[in-house]
Amino acid sequence: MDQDLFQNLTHLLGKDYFESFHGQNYLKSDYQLSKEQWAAFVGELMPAVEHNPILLFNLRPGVKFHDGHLMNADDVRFTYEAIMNPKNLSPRIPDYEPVKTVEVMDPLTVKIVYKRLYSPAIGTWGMGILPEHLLDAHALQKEAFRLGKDPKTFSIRQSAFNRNPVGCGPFKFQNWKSDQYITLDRFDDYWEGPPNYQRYVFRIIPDLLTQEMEFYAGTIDSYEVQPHQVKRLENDPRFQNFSGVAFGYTYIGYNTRRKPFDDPRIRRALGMAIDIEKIIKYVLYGQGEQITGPFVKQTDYYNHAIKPLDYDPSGALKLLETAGWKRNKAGRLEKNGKPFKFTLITNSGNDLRKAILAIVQDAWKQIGIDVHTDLLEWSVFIQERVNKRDFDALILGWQMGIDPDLYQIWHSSQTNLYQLNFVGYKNKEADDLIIKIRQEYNYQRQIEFCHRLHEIIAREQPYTFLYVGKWTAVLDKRIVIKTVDDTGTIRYEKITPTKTGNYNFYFNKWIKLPQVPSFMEKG
Amino acid sequence: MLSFIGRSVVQKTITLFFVSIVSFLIIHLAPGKPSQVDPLNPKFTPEVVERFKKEFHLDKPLYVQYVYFYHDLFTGKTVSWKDNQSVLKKILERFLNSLPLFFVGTLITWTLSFPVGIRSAIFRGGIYDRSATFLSYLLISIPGFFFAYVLIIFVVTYFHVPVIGMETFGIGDAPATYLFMDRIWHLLLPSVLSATGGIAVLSRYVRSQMLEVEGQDYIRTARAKGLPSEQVHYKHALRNALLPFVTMFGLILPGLIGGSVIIESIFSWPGMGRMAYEAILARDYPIILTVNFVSAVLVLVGTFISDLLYLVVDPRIRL
Repeated sequence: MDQDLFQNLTHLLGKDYFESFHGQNYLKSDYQLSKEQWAAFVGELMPAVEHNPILLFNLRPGVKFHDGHLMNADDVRFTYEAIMNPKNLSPRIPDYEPVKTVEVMDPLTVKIVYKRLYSPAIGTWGMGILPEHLLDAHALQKEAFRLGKDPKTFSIRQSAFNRNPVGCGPFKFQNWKSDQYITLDRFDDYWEGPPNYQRYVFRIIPDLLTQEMEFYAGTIDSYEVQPHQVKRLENDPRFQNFSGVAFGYTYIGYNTRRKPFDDPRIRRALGMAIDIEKIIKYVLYGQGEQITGPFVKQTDYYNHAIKPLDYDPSGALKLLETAGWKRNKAGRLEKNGKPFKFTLITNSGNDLRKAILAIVQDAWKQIGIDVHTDLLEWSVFIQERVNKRDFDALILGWQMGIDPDLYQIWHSSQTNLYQLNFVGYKNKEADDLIIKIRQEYNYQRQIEFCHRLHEIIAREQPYTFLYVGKWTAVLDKRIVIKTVDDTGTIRYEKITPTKTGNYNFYFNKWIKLPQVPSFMEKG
Repeated sequence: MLSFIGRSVVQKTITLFFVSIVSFLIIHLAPGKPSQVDPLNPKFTPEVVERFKKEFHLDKPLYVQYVYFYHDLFTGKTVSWKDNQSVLKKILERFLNSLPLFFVGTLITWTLSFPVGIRSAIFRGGIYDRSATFLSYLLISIPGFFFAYVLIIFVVTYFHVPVIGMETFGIGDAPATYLFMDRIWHLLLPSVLSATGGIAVLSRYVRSQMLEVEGQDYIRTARAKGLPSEQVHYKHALRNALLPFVTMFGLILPGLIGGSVIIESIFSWPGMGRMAYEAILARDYPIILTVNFVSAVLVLVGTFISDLLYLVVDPRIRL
């Protein structure tokens, strides 16, 4: 699929070829519509040119829901319709807004046609599929009658399904005790064969220390280890551990609408004054890596050719001097007699950010900047300061998905109040690239665009990119992979992570042995 | 008597009405929107936010929202915004979880504070009194969460027993007596912890009350009569020193619904405190307001009961 197709065609057909097409001439309306309404309507119904990418899904035959019902294309269509139904208040609507039609070709084929080029689309269909036979209008009506509720207002949101989900996965829902645990049981009809574990329990333990104590006691097999706990668990012979780079990063964002943050030199100098490696070493206990741009570090979209800013306070001072900021007798930076003074804020309740706040404040004070700091409760922080653009600089983090679409966070059209480009970053070339990335279906070309965008953002430094955290998972050493081949021979293998660092990809094959096994070296 | 009860009920209903208005206003004045309405999710468009607001009536003026909310509450139809569960059902479930913790905690507090306090008062200035004083201040000063950690680590490493949660995880179908004892064991540590602060404060209070009464003339008279000291302390002095505690008894009632956020979080106890705390963070108005309303009712009932109790125990008071 070529996103420049129509543009290239105009070279052959003449510049005004597509503009000379007028849909109005071919359409007639039964109602009286105003001129603008009519034009908008025609534009949608009969545009001169339109990309209509198609996603064709061939479903695996014989996949069953946990109640034994076969999953088919109608369930896929139903899921789409349920999301788009305004009654269900789904927050996922924007994901599927570019969809034009969802068509069931046969019970195992779904054809999805899009209104325009939208490459993040494939990722959005990683969505769980709802069982139509349990949630369609008829089923809901029956449930409403049973519960004595008004069938007119009864929607999926009210259905008992929400606390008793039915899906197609390897484990089926058993019960859920609020704030205690969720129990799942093995699903014997799973299409890939039943998992080894009989039961999967997800426990809710809010306190970090008690999590660790329970882990030692053996009542938890795996949990999310905190950076400061990694060291003492890593070397424990009872456990095996896996770690990898996380999907979110932490940054300092500057309000580029305000002086002096409108100058990229200033932003770069501020970044150079911070010793990020030290932050990673002492705040994160080494459980983090530096990053230079907005893409997920372990994907190909990330441009590894870009080097992080050097920690160089004197270089930062020189850069500030070129922008007109000089140190006065007291060592404070000033320009035309005005001191360099601003406030750095972040949300309370996050100890890492709080520590970074103090470190950064100190680093900037060292080069003569008068920095004040403030910690705000999360919703005050977001609603009063971030959404209303009332800040100089802030510390925050983004949780990223694998898809390289950066439209909401970096496109210049998203700088209005309540939108996510709150730093007010605007760059024509970056805008073009962002649009191209979300329209490009060719992986290689997408990577090229991303690398270029990464370069521009790293050059302009609207954020000081700090670090991406590392996750560590610890497991009892007795947990291994157990496979049975066709001849019935049982093989035990050590758990090894996949290429992307995913250690529980083969979770269905895991089993806990009574004793710690010893493995022979592979050879 | 009857007129007192009547007057009380009318007064308290009026108070309750104002409490309901004030708490409703405060919640809506607090910055931040319910997390369902305003998450920092890149995919959330303004149209979706509008739709959520409409669903929760947040687009209506405050007084209309007020009527909606209390209408729903009294007809038992309020649902949590977070998971669409009935609020009353959720609160009842959590209340039943918090109840044993509260009950045992209070029981320990009240049964231990009195002997400790009374003995301190009788042997004032002695070594027992001094060490009790020292211990009380120590317990008041130690942060609860720190003390809890120390206890947990100690118990887990020396006795190798699980302590968190309401019962041993995965206990399954053990015999009933075993299950019962398991519950009691899990109850012990958190309730002792929640009682420590109470014991420290209350025993100080008992001590000072006793000392005040012991200095009265009629105690000297009783001693002069040649009564055994036991009778003087426990009959003449203690009975009078107890009066202020009767009023305190009524005020324990609101604690029923309060729960302790810290203790419940550390011990993974699925109680009221944790639910309310999480509701506040998520700005889940229905839960916050309902908990608020119920605790207001309990406070008012508590004061009413303590008034009545005072009437019963103190013959000097007549209405």
